[in-house]
Amino acid sequence: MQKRNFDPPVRASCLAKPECLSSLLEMLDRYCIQNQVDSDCQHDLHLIAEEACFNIISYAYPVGAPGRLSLQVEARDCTDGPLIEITIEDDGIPFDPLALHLTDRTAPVEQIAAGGLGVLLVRRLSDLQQYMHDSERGNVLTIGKFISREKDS
Amino acid sequence: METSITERDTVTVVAIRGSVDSLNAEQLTTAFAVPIQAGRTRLVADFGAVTYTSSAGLRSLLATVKDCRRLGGDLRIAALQPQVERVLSISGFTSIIKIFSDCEGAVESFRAAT
Repeated sequence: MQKRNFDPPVRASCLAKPECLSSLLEMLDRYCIQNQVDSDCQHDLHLIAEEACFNIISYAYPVGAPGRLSLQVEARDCTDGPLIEITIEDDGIPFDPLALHLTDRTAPVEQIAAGGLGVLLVRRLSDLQQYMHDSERGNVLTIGKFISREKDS
Repeated sequence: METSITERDTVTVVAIRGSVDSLNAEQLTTAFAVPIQAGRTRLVADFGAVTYTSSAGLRSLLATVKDCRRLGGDLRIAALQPQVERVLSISGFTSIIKIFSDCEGAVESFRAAT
Protein backbone atom coordinates (compact mmCIF):
# COMPACT_ATOMS: atom_id res chain seq x y z
CA MET A 1 0.00 0.00 0.00
CA GLN A 2 1.37 3.38 -0.96
CA LYS A 3 2.15 5.49 2.08
CA ARG A 4 0.80 9.00 2.22
CA ASN A 5 2.60 12.09 3.38
CA PHE A 6 1.07 13.56 6.48
CA ASP A 7 1.94 16.72 8.34
CA PRO A 8 3.94 16.32 11.56
CA PRO A 9 1.82 15.99 14.71
CA VAL A 10 0.47 19.11 16.36
CA ARG A 11 0.11 19.63 20.09
CA ALA A 12 -1.28 22.31 22.36
CA SER A 13 -1.81 22.70 26.06
CA CYS A 14 -4.06 24.99 28.03
CA LEU A 15 -5.86 25.24 31.31
CA ALA A 16 -8.80 22.89 31.59
CA LYS A 17 -11.40 25.67 31.27
CA PRO A 18 -14.40 25.83 28.93
CA GLU A 19 -13.12 28.96 27.18
CA CYS A 20 -9.95 27.12 26.19
CA LEU A 21 -11.71 24.26 24.45
CA SER A 22 -12.35 26.05 21.14
CA SER A 23 -8.67 26.66 20.44
CA LEU A 24 -7.84 22.97 20.90
CA LEU A 25 -10.68 21.89 18.61
CA GLU A 26 -9.73 24.47 15.99
CA MET A 27 -6.19 23.05 15.96
CA LEU A 28 -7.66 19.59 15.37
CA ASP A 29 -9.95 20.84 12.60
CA ARG A 30 -7.10 22.65 10.83
CA TYR A 31 -4.92 19.55 11.00
CA CYS A 32 -7.66 17.40 9.51
CA ILE A 33 -8.27 19.86 6.69
CA GLN A 34 -4.55 20.20 5.95
CA ASN A 35 -4.28 16.41 5.76
CA GLN A 36 -7.39 16.13 3.60
CA VAL A 37 -9.36 13.99 6.02
CA ASP A 38 -12.88 13.45 4.69
CA SER A 39 -15.70 15.47 6.24
CA ASP A 40 -17.41 12.60 8.05
CA CYS A 41 -14.15 11.62 9.77
CA GLN A 42 -13.49 15.28 10.61
CA HIS A 43 -16.90 15.51 12.21
CA ASP A 44 -16.33 12.36 14.27
CA LEU A 45 -12.84 13.41 15.37
CA HIS A 46 -14.10 16.85 16.42
CA LEU A 47 -16.87 15.22 18.45
CA ILE A 48 -14.50 12.69 20.03
CA ALA A 49 -12.09 15.43 21.07
CA GLU A 50 -14.85 17.67 22.41
CA GLU A 51 -16.28 14.86 24.52
CA ALA A 52 -12.94 13.76 25.93
CA CYS A 53 -11.69 17.27 26.63
CA PHE A 54 -14.92 18.51 28.18
CA ASN A 55 -15.01 15.57 30.55
CA ILE A 56 -11.59 16.66 31.79
CA ILE A 57 -12.72 20.27 32.04
CA SER A 58 -15.77 19.18 34.03
CA TYR A 59 -14.35 16.56 36.35
CA ALA A 60 -10.58 16.25 36.43
CA TYR A 61 -9.78 19.14 38.76
CA PRO A 62 -11.31 20.74 41.83
CA VAL A 63 -13.74 23.56 41.08
CA GLY A 64 -11.87 26.81 40.58
CA ALA A 65 -8.48 25.12 40.23
CA PRO A 66 -8.15 23.95 36.64
CA GLY A 67 -4.93 22.25 35.67
CA ARG A 68 -3.32 21.19 32.44
CA LEU A 69 -5.19 19.89 29.44
CA SER A 70 -3.12 18.82 26.43
CA LEU A 71 -4.22 17.66 23.02
CA GLN A 72 -1.99 16.10 20.38
CA VAL A 73 -3.14 15.12 16.91
CA GLU A 74 -1.15 12.88 14.63
CA ALA A 75 -1.91 11.28 11.29
CA ARG A 76 0.06 8.24 10.30
CA ASP A 77 -0.02 5.14 8.23
CA CYS A 78 -0.62 1.86 10.05
CA THR A 79 -0.73 -1.68 8.79
CA ASP A 80 -4.53 -1.42 8.76
CA GLY A 81 -4.52 1.90 6.95
CA PRO A 82 -4.16 5.61 7.62
CA LEU A 83 -5.11 6.69 11.10
CA ILE A 84 -5.65 9.89 13.06
CA GLU A 85 -4.53 9.49 16.65
CA ILE A 86 -5.72 11.93 19.30
CA THR A 87 -3.85 11.93 22.60
CA ILE A 88 -5.34 13.84 25.51
CA GLU A 89 -3.46 14.35 28.76
CA ASP A 90 -4.32 15.92 32.07
CA ASP A 91 -2.86 16.02 35.57
CA GLY A 92 -6.17 15.52 37.35
CA ILE A 93 -7.34 12.67 39.51
CA PRO A 94 -6.55 9.29 37.95
CA PHE A 95 -9.58 8.27 35.95
CA ASP A 96 -10.11 5.73 33.17
CA PRO A 97 -13.14 6.84 31.11
CA LEU A 98 -13.02 3.59 29.17
CA ALA A 99 -13.91 1.67 32.32
CA LEU A 100 -17.11 3.65 32.80
CA HIS A 101 -20.28 1.56 32.89
CA LEU A 102 -22.66 2.83 30.24
CA THR A 103 -26.28 3.34 31.08
CA ASP A 104 -28.96 1.11 29.56
CA ARG A 105 -30.47 3.08 26.67
CA THR A 106 -33.33 0.61 26.40
CA ALA A 107 -34.71 1.50 29.83
CA PRO A 108 -37.77 3.76 30.04
CA VAL A 109 -36.81 7.36 29.37
CA GLU A 110 -37.62 8.38 32.93
CA GLN A 111 -34.87 6.06 34.14
CA ILE A 112 -32.20 6.91 31.61
CA ALA A 113 -29.28 8.75 33.11
CA ALA A 114 -27.57 11.50 31.17
CA GLY A 115 -24.18 10.38 32.39
CA GLY A 116 -21.86 8.42 30.15
CA LEU A 117 -23.18 9.78 26.85
CA GLY A 118 -19.87 11.41 25.99
CA VAL A 119 -17.89 8.24 26.65
CA LEU A 120 -20.43 6.24 24.66
CA LEU A 121 -19.92 8.49 21.64
CA VAL A 122 -16.13 8.36 21.96
CA ARG A 123 -16.21 4.57 21.98
CA ARG A 124 -18.63 4.19 19.10
CA LEU A 125 -17.11 6.82 16.83
CA SER A 126 -13.53 5.64 17.19
CA ASP A 127 -11.68 2.48 16.26
CA LEU A 128 -9.01 2.31 18.95
CA GLN A 129 -9.04 3.48 22.56
CA GLN A 130 -6.35 3.24 25.19
CA TYR A 131 -5.95 4.70 28.66
CA MET A 132 -2.96 4.83 30.90
CA HIS A 133 -1.90 6.77 33.95
CA ASP A 134 1.69 7.87 34.15
CA SER A 135 3.42 9.66 37.03
CA GLU A 136 4.90 12.20 34.61
CA ARG A 137 2.20 12.57 31.98
CA GLY A 138 -0.82 12.01 34.23
CA ASN A 139 -3.97 10.65 32.63
CA VAL A 140 -3.25 9.75 29.02
CA LEU A 141 -6.20 8.90 26.78
CA THR A 142 -5.36 7.84 23.23
CA ILE A 143 -8.10 7.55 20.62
CA GLY A 144 -7.53 6.31 17.08
CA LYS A 145 -9.77 6.55 14.07
CA PHE A 146 -9.04 5.11 10.67
CA ILE A 147 -9.54 7.74 8.04
CA SER A 148 -10.07 8.19 4.37
CA ARG A 149 -9.06 11.22 2.45
CA GLU A 150 -11.30 13.65 0.57
CA LYS A 151 -11.37 12.79 -3.11
CA ASP A 152 -9.21 15.01 -5.24
CA SER A 153 -11.32 17.65 -7.02
CA MET B 1 -26.29 28.69 18.06
CA GLU B 2 -29.59 30.50 17.65
CA THR B 3 -33.12 29.48 18.51
CA SER B 4 -36.51 30.83 17.55
CA ILE B 5 -39.96 29.86 18.73
CA THR B 6 -43.14 29.58 16.68
CA GLU B 7 -46.54 28.64 18.02
CA ARG B 8 -48.57 26.28 15.86
CA ASP B 9 -51.94 25.98 17.56
CA THR B 10 -51.24 23.70 20.57
CA VAL B 11 -47.70 22.87 19.41
CA THR B 12 -44.57 24.95 19.98
CA VAL B 13 -41.83 24.69 17.38
CA VAL B 14 -38.32 25.49 18.59
CA ALA B 15 -36.13 26.03 15.53
CA ILE B 16 -32.42 25.67 16.16
CA ARG B 17 -29.63 26.95 13.94
CA GLY B 18 -25.91 26.13 14.12
CA SER B 19 -23.93 23.78 16.34
CA VAL B 20 -25.03 22.48 19.72
CA ASP B 21 -22.02 21.72 21.89
CA SER B 22 -20.71 21.73 25.45
CA LEU B 23 -20.36 25.51 25.45
CA ASN B 24 -23.89 26.44 24.36
CA ALA B 25 -26.19 23.48 25.13
CA GLU B 26 -27.45 25.24 28.23
CA GLN B 27 -28.93 27.92 25.94
CA LEU B 28 -30.91 25.18 24.20
CA THR B 29 -32.23 23.86 27.48
CA THR B 30 -33.27 27.39 28.41
CA ALA B 31 -35.01 27.83 25.06
CA PHE B 32 -37.03 24.66 25.63
CA ALA B 33 -37.84 25.72 29.20
CA VAL B 34 -39.62 28.91 28.11
CA PRO B 35 -42.70 27.25 26.55
CA ILE B 36 -42.71 24.46 29.16
CA GLN B 37 -42.90 26.99 31.98
CA ALA B 38 -45.79 28.64 30.13
CA GLY B 39 -47.64 25.32 30.15
CA ARG B 40 -46.91 24.44 26.56
CA THR B 41 -45.53 20.91 26.63
CA ARG B 42 -46.07 19.78 23.04
CA LEU B 43 -42.73 20.70 21.55
CA VAL B 44 -41.14 20.14 18.16
CA ALA B 45 -37.39 20.69 17.89
CA ASP B 46 -36.69 21.70 14.30
CA PHE B 47 -33.14 20.48 13.61
CA GLY B 48 -33.13 21.36 9.92
CA ALA B 49 -30.38 23.95 10.41
CA VAL B 50 -28.36 22.08 13.03
CA THR B 51 -25.03 20.92 11.68
CA TYR B 52 -23.53 19.32 14.77
CA THR B 53 -24.45 18.12 18.23
CA SER B 54 -22.38 16.57 20.96
CA SER B 55 -23.54 14.76 24.09
CA ALA B 56 -24.32 18.10 25.67
CA GLY B 57 -27.08 18.58 23.10
CA LEU B 58 -28.32 15.07 23.74
CA ARG B 59 -28.53 15.77 27.47
CA SER B 60 -30.57 18.86 26.75
CA LEU B 61 -32.97 16.81 24.64
CA LEU B 62 -33.19 14.10 27.27
CA ALA B 63 -33.97 16.53 30.09
CA THR B 64 -36.56 18.26 27.93
CA VAL B 65 -38.36 15.11 26.81
CA LYS B 66 -38.53 13.93 30.40
CA ASP B 67 -40.04 17.25 31.52
CA CYS B 68 -42.56 17.32 28.67
CA ARG B 69 -43.73 13.76 29.20
CA ARG B 70 -43.98 14.21 32.94
CA LEU B 71 -46.38 17.08 32.26
CA GLY B 72 -48.43 15.13 29.74
CA GLY B 73 -46.77 16.39 26.56
CA ASP B 74 -43.81 15.34 24.44
CA LEU B 75 -40.74 16.56 22.58
CA ARG B 76 -40.40 15.44 18.98
CA ILE B 77 -37.58 16.12 16.58
CA ALA B 78 -37.77 17.10 12.94
CA ALA B 79 -35.46 17.34 9.93
CA LEU B 80 -32.26 15.85 11.27
CA GLN B 81 -29.14 16.35 9.17
CA PRO B 82 -27.35 13.03 8.42
CA GLN B 83 -24.41 13.51 10.76
CA VAL B 84 -26.63 14.65 13.61
CA GLU B 85 -29.02 11.75 13.01
CA ARG B 86 -26.10 9.37 13.17
CA VAL B 87 -25.08 10.74 16.58
CA LEU B 88 -28.63 10.31 17.89
CA SER B 89 -28.76 6.81 16.48
CA ILE B 90 -25.42 5.76 17.93
CA SER B 91 -26.44 7.00 21.35
CA GLY B 92 -29.81 5.24 21.24
CA PHE B 93 -31.84 8.43 21.12
CA THR B 94 -33.74 7.45 18.01
CA SER B 95 -35.57 4.89 20.14
CA ILE B 96 -36.22 7.41 22.92
CA ILE B 97 -37.56 10.39 20.99
CA LYS B 98 -39.91 10.38 17.99
CA ILE B 99 -38.22 11.70 14.89
CA PHE B 100 -39.81 13.08 11.72
CA SER B 101 -38.36 13.98 8.37
CA ASP B 102 -39.89 17.44 8.41
CA CYS B 103 -41.38 19.93 10.80
CA GLU B 104 -44.87 19.66 9.38
CA GLY B 105 -44.98 15.95 10.01
CA ALA B 106 -43.83 16.40 13.58
CA VAL B 107 -46.44 19.08 14.26
CA GLU B 108 -49.13 16.98 12.61
CA SER B 109 -48.25 13.97 14.77
CA PHE B 110 -49.50 15.83 17.84
CA ARG B 111 -52.82 16.57 16.14
CA ALA B 112 -53.18 12.95 15.08
CA ALA B 113 -52.80 11.88 18.70
CA THR B 114 -55.69 14.03 19.92
